[in-house]
Amino acid sequence: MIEPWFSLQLSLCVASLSTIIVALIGIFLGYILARFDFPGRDLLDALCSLPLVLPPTVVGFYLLCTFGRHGWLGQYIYQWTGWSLVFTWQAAVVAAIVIALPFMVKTSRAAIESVDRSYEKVAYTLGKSRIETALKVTLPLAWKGLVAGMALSFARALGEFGATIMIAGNIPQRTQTMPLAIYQATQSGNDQLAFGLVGLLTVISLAVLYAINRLGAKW
Amino acid sequence: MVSEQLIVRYKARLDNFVLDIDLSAAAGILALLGPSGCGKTTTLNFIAGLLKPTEGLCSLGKSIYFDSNNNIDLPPQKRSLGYVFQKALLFPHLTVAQNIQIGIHKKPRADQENRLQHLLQLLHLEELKNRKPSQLSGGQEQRVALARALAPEPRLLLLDEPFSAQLGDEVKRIHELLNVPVVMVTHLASEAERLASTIVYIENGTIKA
Repeated sequence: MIEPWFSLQLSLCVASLSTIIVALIGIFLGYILARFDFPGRDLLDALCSLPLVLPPTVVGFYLLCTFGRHGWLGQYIYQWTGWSLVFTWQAAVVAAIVIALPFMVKTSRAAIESVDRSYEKVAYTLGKSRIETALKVTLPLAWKGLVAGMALSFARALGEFGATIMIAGNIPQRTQTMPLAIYQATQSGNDQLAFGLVGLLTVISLAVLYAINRLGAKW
Repeated sequence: MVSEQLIVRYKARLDNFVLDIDLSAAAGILALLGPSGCGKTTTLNFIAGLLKPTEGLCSLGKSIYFDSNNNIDLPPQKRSLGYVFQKALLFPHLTVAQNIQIGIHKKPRADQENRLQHLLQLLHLEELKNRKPSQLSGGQEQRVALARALAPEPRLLLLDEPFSAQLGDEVKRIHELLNVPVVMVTHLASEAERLASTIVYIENGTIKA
């Protein structure tokens, strides 16, 4: 049974939570890639971009191998806590994080690289540590790009389907996000409901992206 | 302030020549004079710790900033130098006051505020303190950059090609007022003569007598 309002709430919740986590991880990785030269940097960059080119079902499969009850990490989590990530709403968050991360890493790296390094040098001569300089100078100057990255990540997380269905399943009132509900409505021939859900998701995505863009422009 | 000896001895390979600098000077205004591309700014960046030479020594008074023989290389944060770059490079997202505040490390908030007021007064910036850098003229920007460089109470002020005569005069006034030694870079002999107590002429990476 499809519960449109539950699916909508779940989708917004998953997308918001994953965007926050993606922003933190993505900005950190983007900064490392933009400002440090180390062996393996290109490999790290390629790894971060991988979910962008792999079909989401493949990413979902990897996540199952990792977090499944017999997965290399999941088995320990299950042993210690008796809990498994698979088929929970948290799994939808993890799927959204992995799928949206490349967008955040790519845009934040580009945004940070576009900040003139001379500003950082000034901060160093003023006694600011590398971390303080990043927080007070580099990231605020890259703010617009970072907001754009967050908007993209949110949009991508909201539309996430393939990896989510692999690891979180499609359980009504538990893990059925909007894209999954739309899929099910279409499959069961309930075109009217599908139309409604599609319209709702489109309007909400548009509103959120517009609001984030406005925020970025004002800053 | 007791005058401290600045010792700079460097060797570094640049794109088209070898930079070989050996100078020592007591407090005052030291001008590094020479045509553009002769290695003046590079020398300033070595002193500030923003560039690392192949080998050499750099010290101010008893503090050793760089010593290739003993593997000492103090990061720029710990050199306690004020650096006014050729471009003002004010942080565009901060106001004038915030630009200066970022370099003030005094802990009690009241002391921080006093220091800010003092610097604003010193460089006649009180009325501009809430403006963003984009709302300032070139000269005003340079004065803010100077105030910001003075904020952490540096032991030495580095000045790269003051873009206007006024800034040079301002630096001289500050030097006389605060007795902070200055190393400035310029390609104008007249400016060096007008402002400096010691002039070092650099050509193709080496010091000419």
